[in-house]
Amino acid sequence: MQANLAGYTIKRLGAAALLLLLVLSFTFFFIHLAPGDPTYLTQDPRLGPEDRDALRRIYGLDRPLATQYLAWMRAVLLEGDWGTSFVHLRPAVTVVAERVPATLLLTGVALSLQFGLGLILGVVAARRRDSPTDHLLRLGSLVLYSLPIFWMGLMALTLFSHRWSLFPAGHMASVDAATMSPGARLLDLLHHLTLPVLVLVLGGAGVVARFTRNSLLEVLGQDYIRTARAKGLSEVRVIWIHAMKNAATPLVQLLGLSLPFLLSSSLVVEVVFSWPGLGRLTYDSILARDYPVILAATALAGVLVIAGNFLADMVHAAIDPRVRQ
Amino acid sequence: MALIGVALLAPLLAPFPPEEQYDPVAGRYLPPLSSRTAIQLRSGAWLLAESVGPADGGLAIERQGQTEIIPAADLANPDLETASVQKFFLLGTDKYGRDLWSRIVFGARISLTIGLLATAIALVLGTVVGGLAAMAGGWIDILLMRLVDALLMFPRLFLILALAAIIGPRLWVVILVLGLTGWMSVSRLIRAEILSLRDVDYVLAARSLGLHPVLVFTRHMLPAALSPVLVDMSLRVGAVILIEAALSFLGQGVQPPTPSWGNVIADGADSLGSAWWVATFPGLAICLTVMAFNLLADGLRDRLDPHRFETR
Repeated sequence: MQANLAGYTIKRLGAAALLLLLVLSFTFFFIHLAPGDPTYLTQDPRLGPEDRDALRRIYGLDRPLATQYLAWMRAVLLEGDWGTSFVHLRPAVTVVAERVPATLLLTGVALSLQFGLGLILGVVAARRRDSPTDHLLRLGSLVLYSLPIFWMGLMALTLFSHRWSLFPAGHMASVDAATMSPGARLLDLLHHLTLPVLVLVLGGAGVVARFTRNSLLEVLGQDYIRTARAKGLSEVRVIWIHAMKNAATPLVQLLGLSLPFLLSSSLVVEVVFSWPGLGRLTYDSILARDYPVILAATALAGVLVIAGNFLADMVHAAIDPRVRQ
Repeated sequence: MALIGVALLAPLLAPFPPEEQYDPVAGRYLPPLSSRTAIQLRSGAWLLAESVGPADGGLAIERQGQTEIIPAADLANPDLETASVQKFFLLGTDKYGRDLWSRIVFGARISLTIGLLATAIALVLGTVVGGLAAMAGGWIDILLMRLVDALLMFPRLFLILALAAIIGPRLWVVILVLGLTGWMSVSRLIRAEILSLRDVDYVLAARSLGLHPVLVFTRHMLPAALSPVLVDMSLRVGAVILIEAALSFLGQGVQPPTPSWGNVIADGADSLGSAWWVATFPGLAICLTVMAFNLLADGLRDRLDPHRFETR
């Protein structure tokens, strides 16, 4: 068993590494997608054609594309050099890395709640199939799924922050956070976290609930479930232990697929709620045309998704032994 | 359910009201269901008045609490009887006095066009790639699928924003980018379908007759493969509309003054406390439209699935 798990891990790591390479390569081709060459530094109209040529030579842009590609990959992978941010005047990597924890916090909490809530709701809907509760849940999840997230955020802000001053209107901590005790600071953080997470969770939980419901219904029709019930096992055990294990596979796939969407949504939510994370950084950088940071952030977003998928695969292997062969 | 979906879509296609700017000063942020009397001046500009009455040599209008007299010479329509028109603002007006209802309807046209075009692009690309992978098999298949997996790893919004920033937020760029980032799931579906169809009788017959593979693909296999794709398509249109709205909201999509639901919401976001209607109604419009497409997908799915197992 142990050997199998290790083997599977290595296999997934290899796949993840390959995907990483592909993701980074795509980012490179992005840079060169812009019409003209990425001499974005030539925004200054005072630069004449000779100056631009000189710049091109300095940045190695007159070399064949393959050479540039290899040089770039080497710089990125081996030296971790993504260039310097125009706005922050610091290495792009540093700027991006600083913002990642905030996004991880937001998306991590949102993801857990999404799946937790979605699972529970899905089970409820499956058990009371075709009842009013079931229909209500399905309709609800459809509506929530169709709402634009940024609009939900705006509505939430208006209602809970503006009209009824229940929650702060943005950012990660209050202005006087430094003067608070650690306990109070934690509470303050949670206070600020509530609305953005709420917005993220509502949209996603519906999808998870629907999926769980359908998946569970399929599984519940199988024979071994009837066997388990006939054996006298309590309903809770039947559903949660036996049925869920088999419904887990598509759920893990759902988790993997929902990660990019979650990151995209968090970008918007971060902008609306002024949450200092990766998404907001990307948005600000786009407004400021800060290309090194834009590229680093985009690639990092891809990396995060790959990492998330890897973790999901590991969890899946832990739950379902069949996968490890 | 499919019928509900289609019924919801139809009214959105009525693009009748023009996108006029009535009196930016007096018409600012009028609440929903307000109506005013509008008078057009010779210069083309409009004045919105609470009430209008005749006066010496012109019209006396009451506007923003003050009474003004407009000489007949300044009016676009010198006939005092018909010079004033009653304007009814169903959903109120925005910051510049533009009717919100018209903007939303216009925005519907734009958003739907973008959604359908982008989805069409994704469909074509996905079919080509998926079909190629399935028909060719072997290492081409593996390579293409790994490519698809890698691309699926990128959060779409990051990609789109980055591209919009580099190339510039023009309309055709938006459509193109939305299509280019959405074809992956289509290709997966097509590939799965084609793979299952490869060994079906009529296909084998066609190939043994010497029919060129591309023809085999388009004439025989595609029609059968399309049904799950249609379901995915309608879901996709909904998703694209959501993304386009987010893009416009962030300022990288459709640019003002062209109305797109996203940028109307952005306009209204600053004044949510007072003029809440500007941001609220477009959001509801988006929600309804996306719901319609999702319902359409559900309906299609229900109708197509049992069909496929029937013997004709």
